[in-house]
Amino acid sequence: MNSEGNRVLLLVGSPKAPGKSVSEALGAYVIEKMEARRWSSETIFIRMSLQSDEGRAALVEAVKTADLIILSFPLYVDSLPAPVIRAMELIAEARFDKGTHFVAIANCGFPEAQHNKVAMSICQRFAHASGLEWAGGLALGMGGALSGQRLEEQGGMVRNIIKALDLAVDAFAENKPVPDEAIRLMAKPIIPGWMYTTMGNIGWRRQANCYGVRKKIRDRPYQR
Amino acid sequence: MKALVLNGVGKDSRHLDRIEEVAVRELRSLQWEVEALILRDIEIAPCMGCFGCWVQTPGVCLIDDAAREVTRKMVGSDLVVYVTPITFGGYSSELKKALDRSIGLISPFFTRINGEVHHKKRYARAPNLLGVGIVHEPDEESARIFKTLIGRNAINMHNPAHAAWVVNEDQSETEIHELMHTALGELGVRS
Repeated sequence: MNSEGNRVLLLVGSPKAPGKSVSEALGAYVIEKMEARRWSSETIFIRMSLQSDEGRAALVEAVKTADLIILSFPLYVDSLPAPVIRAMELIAEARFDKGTHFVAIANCGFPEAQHNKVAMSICQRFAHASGLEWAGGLALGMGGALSGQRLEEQGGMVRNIIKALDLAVDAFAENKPVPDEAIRLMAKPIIPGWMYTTMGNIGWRRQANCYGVRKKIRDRPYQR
Repeated sequence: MKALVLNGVGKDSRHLDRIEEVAVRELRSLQWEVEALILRDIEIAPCMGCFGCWVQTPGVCLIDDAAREVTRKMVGSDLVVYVTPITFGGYSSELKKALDRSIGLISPFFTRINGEVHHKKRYARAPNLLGVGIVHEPDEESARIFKTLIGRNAINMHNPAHAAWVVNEDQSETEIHELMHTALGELGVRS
């Protein structure tokens, strides 16, 4: 705990603008609940923070002064987005040894949460390399069904996600790691898998239609 | 046969370039046509997660920078080699900035592979994939994560064959050469 009480830092790993990403919505829910428990908070959007020397320095300083760090990110090519890895490289160079708890929340566009497994292992290795204490990860599938809206406004579909995050918040407030039950609830499909893939495939066609490229969606522009 | 080597070594670790150079020499000695890209010298913006490469300009990223050319070269290769310092078990940010921008290589549509959902192919054929991970000192857990990551990428990007090997940064050129030779044998692309 620092002199001003406990402080939680949310690192948003999505490159999207504030208010637009599932990663932010998931992380913001936790932050709000921690603030209700009188924790102070700070939110940093990683892609934006890396654009200047000041931003990079502020990122490292924020990590240094936090009591709990939550990294919320989308899965990119089985791993973390490049800017998140860059931020991790910077943080690991600074290396902290105060045992700050580090938690990861991953969301992917595949129906199965298990796709996030490698990324979670990377987060755990990062914590180890940076002198942070790995306090567990929550992995979510079907991220494509969610939006950047506040979780409470996303309907019954997110009930298990909210339950999972509530359990996690209870644990964080007591300086405990992510409970197994929270991990289990977070990984539960939010809709049936067949429905997700069917709706997803329809959605891609619909979006392509909006841009007038429905018939080009299978194009191979770089075919040799 | 064409090989594309993506060097993800960062500017503070240039001494690791020698591992990429051994890989290139080994491939050339086997009569491969090799192009090596040093990614730290190439300006590539981060992927914005917009899916424009799937639904707006199919197969081409909306951001007009060097990543488009990297992706084009990947399609035109028989083998893509990732050379990277193993970074917390995964790729360096320098390598990852290019890979994040390459998802236009696959289709947005879902399919099932080994009971798991993935995306369909866009191109009829994808290159084979070889991951070369560099560690400062032996680290079994990082090596395990790296090999798993290469395997997962190979499923998602439809690489027909893949191999991953881990080298210590102070290994001799002869040892690296032998490892490379073995890895290419695993891929069945030694000539």
